[in-house]
Amino acid sequence: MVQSIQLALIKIQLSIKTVFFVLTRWKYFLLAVGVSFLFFELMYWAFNLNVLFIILSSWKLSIIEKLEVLASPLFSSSGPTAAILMVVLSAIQGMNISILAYIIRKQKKIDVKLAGESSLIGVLAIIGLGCPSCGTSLITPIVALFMSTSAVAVSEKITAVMLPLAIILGLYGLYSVGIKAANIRSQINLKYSDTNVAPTS
Amino acid sequence: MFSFIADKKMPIIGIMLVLGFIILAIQPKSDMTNSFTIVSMDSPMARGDKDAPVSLIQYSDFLCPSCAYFSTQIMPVIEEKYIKTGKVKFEFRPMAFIADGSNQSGMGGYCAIDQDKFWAYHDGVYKVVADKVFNQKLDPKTDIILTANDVKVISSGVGLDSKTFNDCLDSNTKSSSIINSTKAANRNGVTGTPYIMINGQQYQGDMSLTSIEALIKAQL
Repeated sequence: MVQSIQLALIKIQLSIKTVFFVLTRWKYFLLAVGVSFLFFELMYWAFNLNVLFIILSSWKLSIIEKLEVLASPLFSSSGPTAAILMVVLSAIQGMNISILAYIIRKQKKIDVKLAGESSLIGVLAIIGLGCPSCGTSLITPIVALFMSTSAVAVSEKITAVMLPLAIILGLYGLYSVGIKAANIRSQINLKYSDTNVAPTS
Repeated sequence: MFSFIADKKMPIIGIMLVLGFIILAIQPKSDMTNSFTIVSMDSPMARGDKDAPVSLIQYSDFLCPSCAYFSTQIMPVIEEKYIKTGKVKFEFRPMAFIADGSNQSGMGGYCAIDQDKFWAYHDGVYKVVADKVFNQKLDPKTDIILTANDVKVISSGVGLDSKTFNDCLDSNTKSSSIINSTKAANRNGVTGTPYIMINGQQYQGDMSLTSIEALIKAQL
């Protein structure tokens, strides 16, 4: 039992170190920042992309006004807790995708399982937003299919746990890609130590 | 060739789905030819200059927390900056689907129209709902936010004639009005509130003053 915990801790440490290693490279860092930003905006604007498109493409609005709109999810009616959860989730997702890009680049193939985990986090996050009482949460019509009489009440409970659940899954996803990247790094290091050539990645 | 597709089919399908979603989402949804998207200045729940270039419609349930936020935090600014200056005309379209309080407050809205005091009633109801939802943290689905008696107290507080209003509410004569209003909204695909239409562009769910103002400015 103790050994299992120690092993788990070592794996977590290894994963964190690898994530840190990859993100200290500027191109992966920039990718993480870019994806985080896109994920944050897509999560918030998912049901109103037409509005965002009109605002961003309007010549009547200044760049400052457009930037203010992009920052507006932080100050919306959802409140500060939801805004903080969205920022945290977006940052995790950005790191996830960036490490995934590192793995794909080094492996020269796409890991469908890891990519699938990232997609699931996005879906959970979008489900976790909205106001079930007001009927603007994506989960309400889904729940209504199964329990028509209490759909809203059930949806409220689901929505309340969905963003935190997405964050937990996101952290697990980050751990998974971190371990995978660590394996790839060690294989690269091994390969180059066999040939006595310094690794470049 | 086929193994390449097989290896990558999941991400390709994913990317296609995302692109499809984005294309559908940014499709212009405006149809300015029907009453669903145009402010009817004949409505007693409409205000502003009839020649205003921007038409703003709000579908709302009096019990909906996001609607309370929209009506108490966003609309006062829109009123000052755009409605009073003749840039925006506004119409409120009530719905009732959250709880019994939605019906009571919705019927109350139509009773207030009879006394030509709809906006005072509207502001009074949303002030109470915003306080209960945001300050007292009550949930409109699981807690009783508004009863018929609450609605009567609010109407009296905003200057409506109590006897006339109470008789109107108790008689249920406005029941069909709020039911028909909700059905009409549902027929047009409005299933959640707040559902805002700005010159026919739909905007629903979570919203901020910044984004509403930007959308109005883009239409001016």
